[in-house]
Amino acid sequence: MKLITHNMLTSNILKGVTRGFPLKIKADKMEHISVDYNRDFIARIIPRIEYDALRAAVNDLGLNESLPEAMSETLQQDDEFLKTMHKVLLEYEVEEGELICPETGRKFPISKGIPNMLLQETEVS
Amino acid sequence: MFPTPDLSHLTRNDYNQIYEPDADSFLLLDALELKLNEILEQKPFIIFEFGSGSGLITTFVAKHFCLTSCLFFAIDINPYACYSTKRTFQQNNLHKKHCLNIIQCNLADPLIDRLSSKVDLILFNPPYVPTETSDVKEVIERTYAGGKQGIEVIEKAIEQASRLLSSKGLFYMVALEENNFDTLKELANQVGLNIDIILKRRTLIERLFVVQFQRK
Repeated sequence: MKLITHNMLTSNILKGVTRGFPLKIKADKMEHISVDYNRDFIARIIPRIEYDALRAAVNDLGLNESLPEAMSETLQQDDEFLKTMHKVLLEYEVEEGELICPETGRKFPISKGIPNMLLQETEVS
Repeated sequence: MFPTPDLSHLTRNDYNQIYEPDADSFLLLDALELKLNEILEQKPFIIFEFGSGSGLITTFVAKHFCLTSCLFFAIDINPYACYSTKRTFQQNNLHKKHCLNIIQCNLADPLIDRLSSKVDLILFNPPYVPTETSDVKEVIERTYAGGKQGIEVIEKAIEQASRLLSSKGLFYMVALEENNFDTLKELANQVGLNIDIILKRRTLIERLFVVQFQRK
């Protein structure tokens, strides 16, 4: 699971959960897989990213990547920043671990790189 | 005609766990090809497939309908289908050009909020066979069991699609005659979508058609 995937997931279908975002991440096994840098692609993705949630994920995983506190229009044109975003969003893969609902603590396993967000019927609102 | 994606990595063992592409899958590919120009004009960037199974459809679209790098989402309730989708995408060498997000979940449940009004192209070969219930245990049964009139899963997918589609986004879905076009039209209208039949085909055992949905 890449961090871009994490950035798109919420647990608010759980009973009693309002936002369910961002999910916390715990990684037992992580990989770094290099992906060809495509400036246009990453620039197109960035407006769709919840930046604070991405920073929280970087922090949860203890990645040694420095993301500025706030995103700005100028930053979105900055090559260094785009390269860091490319690496953080597309190159880190959580192979084994779990996502955790920020409101209920419900755990969602990540196995062979794929998060399992399935719920029991009784858990759904 | 575009060639079918390479599925040579999938074996009989895999098809015991996931749906093996059949006439309905190929009908959807043919319908997409028929709409090639319309889809290319939209320049889809975010593409979503419900129940991606072997990964055939997502891979076909990535290969032939995306001139630049795109962001794909493929979901399935079946973990084997999730892994198969990933493998098929890689087997066809598309993982270097595009970004594929695979999530094991029910329809778009955990993605609806973040992808609301952002998806340019949605694809679905649903469980459309009328059965007593769509709530069945075996994963392989869940690939076809559509519940009453075969539309229990379809109904939820149409509702979710109406929230996911971008303003000009397109949604393509396979259906069975017994699902009843008028019923589908009513479901679409209720959530503000237009629906058109774009291709019909009679197979040995089924009368199938493919519909296109778009925001009104």
